[in-house]
Amino acid sequence: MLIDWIQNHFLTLLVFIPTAGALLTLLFPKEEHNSIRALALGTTLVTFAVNLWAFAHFQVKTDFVFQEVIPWVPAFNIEYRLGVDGVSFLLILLTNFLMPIVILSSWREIGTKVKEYHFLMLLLQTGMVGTFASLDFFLFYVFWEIMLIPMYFLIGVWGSGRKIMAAFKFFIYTMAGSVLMLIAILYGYFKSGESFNYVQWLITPFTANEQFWLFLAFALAFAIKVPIFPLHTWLPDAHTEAPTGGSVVLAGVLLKMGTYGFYRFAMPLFPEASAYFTPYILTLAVVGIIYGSLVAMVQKDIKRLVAYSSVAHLGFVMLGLFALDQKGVEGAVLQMINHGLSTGALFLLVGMLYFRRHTRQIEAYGGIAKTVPLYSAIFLFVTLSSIGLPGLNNFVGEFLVLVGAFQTKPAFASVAVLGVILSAVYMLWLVERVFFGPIKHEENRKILDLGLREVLVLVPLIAAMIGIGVYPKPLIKMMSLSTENFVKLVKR
Amino acid sequence: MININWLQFAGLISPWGIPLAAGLLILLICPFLKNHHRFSFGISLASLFISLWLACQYWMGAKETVIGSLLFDKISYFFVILFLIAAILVILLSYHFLETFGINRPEFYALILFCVFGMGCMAAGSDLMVIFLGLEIMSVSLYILAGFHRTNIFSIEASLKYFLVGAFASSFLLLGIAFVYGASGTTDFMVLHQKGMELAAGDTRLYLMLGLGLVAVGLGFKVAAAPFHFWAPDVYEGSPLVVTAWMATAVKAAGFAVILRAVWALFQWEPELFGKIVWIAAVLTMSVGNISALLQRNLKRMLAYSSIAHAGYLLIPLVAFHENNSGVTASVGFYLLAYILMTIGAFAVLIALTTDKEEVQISDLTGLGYKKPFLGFALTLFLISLAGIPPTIGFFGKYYLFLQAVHVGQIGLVVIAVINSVISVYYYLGPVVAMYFTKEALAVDQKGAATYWSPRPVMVVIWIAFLCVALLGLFPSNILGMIQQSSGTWLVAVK
Repeated sequence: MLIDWIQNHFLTLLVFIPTAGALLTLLFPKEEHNSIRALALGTTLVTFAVNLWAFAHFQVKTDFVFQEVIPWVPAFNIEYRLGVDGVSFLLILLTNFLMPIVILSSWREIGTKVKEYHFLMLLLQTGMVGTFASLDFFLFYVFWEIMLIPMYFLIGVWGSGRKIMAAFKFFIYTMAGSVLMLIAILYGYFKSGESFNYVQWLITPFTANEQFWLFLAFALAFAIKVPIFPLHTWLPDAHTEAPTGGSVVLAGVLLKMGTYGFYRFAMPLFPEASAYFTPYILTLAVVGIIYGSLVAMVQKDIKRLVAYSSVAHLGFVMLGLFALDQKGVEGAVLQMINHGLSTGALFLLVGMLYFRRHTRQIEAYGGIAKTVPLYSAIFLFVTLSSIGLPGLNNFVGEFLVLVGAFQTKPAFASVAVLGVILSAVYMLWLVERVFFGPIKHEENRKILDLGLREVLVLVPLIAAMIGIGVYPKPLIKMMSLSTENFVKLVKR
Repeated sequence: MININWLQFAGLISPWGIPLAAGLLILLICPFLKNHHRFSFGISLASLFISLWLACQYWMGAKETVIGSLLFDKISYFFVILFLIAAILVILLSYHFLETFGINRPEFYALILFCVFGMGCMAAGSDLMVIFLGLEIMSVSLYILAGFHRTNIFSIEASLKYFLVGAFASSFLLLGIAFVYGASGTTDFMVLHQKGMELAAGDTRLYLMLGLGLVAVGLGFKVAAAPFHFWAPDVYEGSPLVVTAWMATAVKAAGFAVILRAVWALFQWEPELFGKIVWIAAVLTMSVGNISALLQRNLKRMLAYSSIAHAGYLLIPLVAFHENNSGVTASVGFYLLAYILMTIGAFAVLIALTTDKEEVQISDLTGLGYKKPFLGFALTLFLISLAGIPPTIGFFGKYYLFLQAVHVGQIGLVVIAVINSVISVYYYLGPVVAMYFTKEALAVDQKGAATYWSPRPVMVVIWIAFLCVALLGLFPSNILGMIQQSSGTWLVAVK
């Protein structure tokens, strides 16, 4: 009975278990910090367990899996319509994989307003999973916007430096993009015969002119989130000033909302327009790769450097998507996941260092490999993963993206290759300046190495990096039908 | 000569007649009572609850009855229900607030109840003269209410300013009505609605246009639509908080009730011209409201400009009126309900913080989110709802308004509206920064925080508003169905 029910409502559970956990935290007294942390960790672990259970039941097919449809506001044909394909399911898996890690990583870092922090984190999880799982435009928009508020608070309350400015910038940028998408959704609603159903929109014939404008409206919302150069300026501020957990979620999941939006909505719904815009977006993506890498190179703040590297990595994802070759798209999706793992791990590592020394300036370090050997080893490992060392996760993704792009857009691909080299330059240079050489500052002799909890935080990420690097086949198999279908839809 | 069934009439008008009677009763009895505050508070609430119950009954069973110049249809009753809800919430807020400032005079309650009566006549009037009378009953009560805090010089200033501007607006309206009468020989909505087309084509066109223009200006003043909004910030700032809450909500709803009726009766015959005027008015109103609100550090003033902006949003669907009047009415009705709940909620939080003076600077909210977690949370929710962010009722309301305009292809207008929404986020989130983000806020010691007590009725209002804003945003279906059902009566009324 119960098992049947669960198996029919996997997505609902994944969306709302975190909400339930969030509401439960409200019942705890403020001072019970550890109970609240444990509750949040338990909630995210349960969610992840349910997600694995769903993984075991996932059938690879072209259609959406785990569909649930309940009328929500029948007067406007608004439905609670959930469903996933291989790609969105993997992204949900990534989200739910990262969340326990985030909660565990903030066990010590977040010492004030613990209750509020975990409440917001769990709410954010609901928003993220809901966004990936929605197949109704209204529902999608609601989840999309719900994510804003917890993240705004996470940056504003627990952030550092110019956090208020960063929080505002994040909120206003995202909102500005998404309200135009709302208008596009309303327009499409009437055009598709008063329907918010994604599948209904797919078979609605939009004229070329309509496609042009609707694509623009959707693409703006997603491009800000990705972020595509030159709309990226909110990112370095938000990522840098957010608390570690917030940065991990931002980089790991929130940025993928943008690329996922292109994958799910903007491109397959408006194929003509996306063909028209492809050269422009590819240009911006490649510019983003080079620009992000170059700017990352000259950063003085470690976290800011990692933040700019995201701009470059996400450029690769866009390249893969718009290359419109199945290999390239698979590489792009893989890169979404890889970037979540590698950059997430980098943010965690930076956060751990910041927790010890309260500075993120590169010049404040140097030679700390001697004082914190374990930390340094792991940082180096993650760096290697991030720059695409063969045998690790990013290599597979970048390789597929480039293989795909070279077949259809060789010019863009050949410029993008530069990005791979540049990423090695800025990351390895960072490692050299922080970990090697003589110890310049006396404080650095007394930094403690990683504790058990921190190792526990990092081990799953490292395992995943190796796993994907060595044997990516299960992931690719899971998404292959979906990506094939995607290419078919965009090329129609 | 019309035969009036007085008994039926008394029954139908009771939802806003009872408050009038209760108001008179308060004025009559209270001079002889020692404990007059408690009495007047109780009587007002009792009369309003009875009226609300009656109004709901009539609303559900309303059969478009016209008696004299009053139109008893579902739309009228729907608006009356809105006024009654707002009145109940405001009166609950008032008791302790009036005590705090020593202005607990029974007249306060009587005036609020008279307002309700005037508003009822405005919503139900099917004749320009009746509407004018209702409007004056409401306005005169408001002039006094604005100056109710007699020892406060700003309150007196607000009252005087409001009176002067209001009288000015009323005279515009009256002159407009005179022109319309001169052109058509009638002030009856039904007749005007049917004759409008031929009048506009004949040689009376100039007078009719002049009249309509003046009526529009008068109504624009009343709902504080730009460029007739200049009185609002000063009046809202100077009036006592509870009166501001009342003016920002119910009065605006009453204004829009009249606007809907007037649009139906008077502005149907040249939809293109009308659409253009509404377009300009909406864009101006929301932009002026939102941009001016950006600079405010005083929450009352900020909410005043925000109420101007919301008047602008409410004008948007009117561009679609001639194509889909029931949809437009439903969307305006739903948004007004949402607006009343979230605005009164925000004011209620401010009232809950009032100890010996009004705490209405943004800096007064410093650390509220940690001192009083629920109040901070509730205020955040109301502000988020005002900004139109899901999953609140404010978002759903806005979606509904915009839907109407998109339906008739007014994409440009909606683009301007959503850009305005983005601007509004900036100032709505300002108080959130003070409550949660600043160093001073984070430094608030949670244990040692002042445990000031908030009066129970005020907390009740906050809880009601809080639950409605959150739950109706998630599950709007039922209430939406009822509103849509009640707005489908326009055509029936013509017969």
